[in-house]
Amino acid sequence: MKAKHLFIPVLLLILAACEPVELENEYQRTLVEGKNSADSVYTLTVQAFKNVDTKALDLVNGDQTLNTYWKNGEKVQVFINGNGYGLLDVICGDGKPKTATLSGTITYNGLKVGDVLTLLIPSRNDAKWDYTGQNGVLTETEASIEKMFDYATAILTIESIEGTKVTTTGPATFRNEQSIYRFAFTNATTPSAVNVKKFTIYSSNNKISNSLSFNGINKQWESMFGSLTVTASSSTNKPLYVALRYGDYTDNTTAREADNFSFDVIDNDAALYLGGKAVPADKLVYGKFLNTTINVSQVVLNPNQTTPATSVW
Amino acid sequence: MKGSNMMQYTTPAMQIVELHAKTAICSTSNNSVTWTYNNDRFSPDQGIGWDRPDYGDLVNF
Repeated sequence: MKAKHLFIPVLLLILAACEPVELENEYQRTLVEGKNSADSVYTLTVQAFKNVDTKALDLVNGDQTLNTYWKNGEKVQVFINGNGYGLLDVICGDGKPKTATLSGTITYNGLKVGDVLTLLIPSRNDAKWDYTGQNGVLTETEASIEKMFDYATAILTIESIEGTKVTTTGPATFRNEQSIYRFAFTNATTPSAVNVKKFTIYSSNNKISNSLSFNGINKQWESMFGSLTVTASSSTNKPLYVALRYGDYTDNTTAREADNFSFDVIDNDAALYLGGKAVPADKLVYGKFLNTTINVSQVVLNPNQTTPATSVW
Repeated sequence: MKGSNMMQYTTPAMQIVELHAKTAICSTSNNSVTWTYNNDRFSPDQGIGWDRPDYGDLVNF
């Protein structure tokens, strides 16, 4: 017992004696790192313009117009070469100010000419730029497009660093990186709205983005393409919304090729429907609010068949 | 920016960076590098800054 009582105070004395030495070493290490371009902590404040409200997306005008807003509490991710280096808080004033400040801290090993900063909203807990896992809801809920899939970027390139002045190039705007589609599904036989539980979209050109990652060689964000499934929280016969990015284009003026989307739909009774829609090239650009109705036909299995019959639309 | 003589004496290396539409301006003090707005260039009235476009009116197809 005595030995144990002695051991603890002695241990504390040893630890206390070590502490100043560690701090001094840390200080010296910092000075050395400073001379060798160690990671620097940058507090980045970006003044951003747009109407500010409590919503990021605002459906108005009898659901005919979709506006965007900065959202209090929203965060902006900062990427350099595809790696996240910090988050900026959206700071808004009272009322509906026209501007918002994005402010936060990033840590990076010295900016240099040619470095590209990608500012990306929304900031997700998983720090991904991903379109999978949508539930067809536009706003409010945690898995809504507003909170998870309404991506916008501002991409800036460091053009020059001259003494105490850094100049960046690039558009002084955030760009919506997808369009918002509203799909309604109608049973071509009845006809009536299908009570949709889940649907999947396929592109004939295989240009529906599932997620994006940064290509370090091309220095570009690039998509993984594939089908996109939307699963409603509960089945509904109302239209469902999808944030859909088609291809990877640096602007909206680059010509797209028209595509044919095909859909498979599962309704509340687990019945399968198939349908399709020709999509004109000008409906595949980014930043649009688009609406269409898909006529689908229920697939009825022949007792002798082991696979679903091909649907005609 | 990295050429600042003051950077190596900053503990921890700290830079205050403020970016606006085109240019960030910085100044140095004894032991830090502070980036500030050039208020002449940064003015809401001039429409300089980051904007975010609306999706706009519904388009049927």
